Amino acid sequence: MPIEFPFPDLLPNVLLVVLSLALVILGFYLLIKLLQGVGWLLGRAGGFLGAMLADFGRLLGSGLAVPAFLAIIVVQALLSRDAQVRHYSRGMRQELALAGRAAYGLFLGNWLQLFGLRALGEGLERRLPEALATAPQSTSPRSNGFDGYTVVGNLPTGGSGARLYVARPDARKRANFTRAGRGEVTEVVIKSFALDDGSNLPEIVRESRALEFARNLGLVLEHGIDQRRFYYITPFVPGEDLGVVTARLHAISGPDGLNTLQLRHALGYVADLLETLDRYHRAGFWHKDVKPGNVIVAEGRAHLVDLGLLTPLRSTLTLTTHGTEYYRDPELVRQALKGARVTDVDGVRFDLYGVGALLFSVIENSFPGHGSLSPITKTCPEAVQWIIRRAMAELQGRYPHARAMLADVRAVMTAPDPFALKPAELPSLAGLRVEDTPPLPEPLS
Amino acid sequence: MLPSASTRFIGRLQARDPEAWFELWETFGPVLEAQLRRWGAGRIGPETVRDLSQETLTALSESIERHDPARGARFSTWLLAIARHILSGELDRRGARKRGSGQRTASLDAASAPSHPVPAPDRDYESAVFRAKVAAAVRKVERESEFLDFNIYRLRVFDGRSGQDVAAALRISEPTVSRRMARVRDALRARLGDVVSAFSFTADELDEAARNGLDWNPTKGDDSRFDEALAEVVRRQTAPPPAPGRRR
Repeated sequence: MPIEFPFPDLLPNVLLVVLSLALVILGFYLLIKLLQGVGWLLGRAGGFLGAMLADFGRLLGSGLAVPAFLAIIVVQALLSRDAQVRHYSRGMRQELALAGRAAYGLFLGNWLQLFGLRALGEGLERRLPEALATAPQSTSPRSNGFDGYTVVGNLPTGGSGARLYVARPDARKRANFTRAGRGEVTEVVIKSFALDDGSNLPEIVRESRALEFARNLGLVLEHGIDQRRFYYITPFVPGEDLGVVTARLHAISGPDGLNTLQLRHALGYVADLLETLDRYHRAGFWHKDVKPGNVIVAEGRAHLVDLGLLTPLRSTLTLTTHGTEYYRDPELVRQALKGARVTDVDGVRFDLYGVGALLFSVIENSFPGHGSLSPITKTCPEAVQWIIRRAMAELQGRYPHARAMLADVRAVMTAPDPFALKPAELPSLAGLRVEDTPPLPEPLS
Repeated sequence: MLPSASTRFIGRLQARDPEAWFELWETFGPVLEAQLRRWGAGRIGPETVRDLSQETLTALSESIERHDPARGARFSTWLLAIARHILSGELDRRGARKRGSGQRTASLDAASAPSHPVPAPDRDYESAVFRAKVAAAVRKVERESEFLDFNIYRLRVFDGRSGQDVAAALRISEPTVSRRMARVRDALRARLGDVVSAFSFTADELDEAARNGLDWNPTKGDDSRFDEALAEVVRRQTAPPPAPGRRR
């Protein structure tokens, strides 16, 4: 039976009231939205005006500062004060860069921001400055050339302040290397610290110490030092760094993570790295800066480069915090802050933390931003996850030496199906014997 | 009344204990960086953010002897005030350098005073500070536990694997998995209590763990709820970070 409204005469009025109420509510809603929109527009316009004024002020300020810098540089140059000229030139370059950014904001960036087109300017705002900052520098050294070598290129500089040149030895040098049992050396890397290039004394002292150790390992072809610079020469390994190679392995495998074939390649590189580290450790040194950027892949093999932080395991010097964030064990920092000496800590395990972090980065195509707590999100054999955890574990739980980790990595590499291998089947967990570490050499200071 | 762990920790900072400073940096450095990045968006680059967050702790080290945590401010607000002061200082310095006006920045004491217009910490920031405390406790337990124990707990709780699965992967019995997990859970509860107390100035901050299902008193909290809550906090805490830095 249909329901009847008790007061049919009132029905139109009731509907009218309900409709009016709905309209009022809708009106309020639209008004609020309109006010919010106006507020948003005003805020945006205010932000735009503020940014324009600030950039105008910056440009004006730079316009005053640059001539002042220029005048100082000219005076210092007339007085032949090279160091001051370099100092003020750096200041002027910074001021010009500020002016450039302000001009960009004034004429383009702020407008793009105003119209919500920030993405259009990202190339100019971020990617271009990044590319400029990392562009190769002049290939010719500012100081005199290197006797017996022709500089043919350069490599990006790291954190040590050195210049890295790629050079070709002349016939005499090549003959010397062959006689010394170095084989056919066609290209070399010259790591140069020159006062004229902006290097400073502490860097030079630290690097010269590392050079001495690298020579003990037979890693240096020759070195030289004069009044203004210090350099040493190592064989050049043409290739790509492991970060680049990792990106390619992931591009081939797909977004979920490395497939079995690419995983085997990647583990092969890690195995090469562990073999090299084992050699260093047995000789009584640790690398101290293991990271993808310091591993060069050439002809299917991985080579560890950058000997700038090479340190004797038994050094009596105080431990320093040098290394690269995310690949450096936080425990190293903790010990360094306590004032521990190198000989009081286990540098081998610090290197292995770096290898664990590097293996993480290979699997994830990213870096371990949360240290040992970093989650593994890509497809990855359980056994490899275990190896990473073990390498990045606290000191006592970590692999005791590179060979123990290498045995686990090889077990995954040679497994018929790495994804089926259980952690319990890894040599380190299965209790297979890995030969004991040899005694360390006598202390070096 | 301040928790005694907090007083002890501030005392260690005041005594210039390098380990305490590193602990503070390791725990809250990333939170400060994230906050400075938000405030300075478009005005300062990632390298500057990194430098400023280190400067924040340097400023803190200079003012710590005069610091009175009994004023009633939250620990998180205290950190935020210093970070904001450092950022304002940097922006002022830039402005002054560009204008050539030689404008000086305000003193840190002024920034720490209640009258200073510090923006109220928002929920994201408070939550990041809380997660940082929990992660610090987890890291401590990881360092102190046996490798196998902690990783059994990690596989079960953080990776969400079943007890049977973990037992099979490590070729141990399920009761062993449960026993070793319980050991780590007990340690986590104890450490959570220590860490949250050390980095809390107010009762509200102290209660934060319990409010988030992480009661460190085992008679109150039930184990699976504790594990679930911890896994959630760790999952959020370990979400992908910003781009890496260079050697330093």
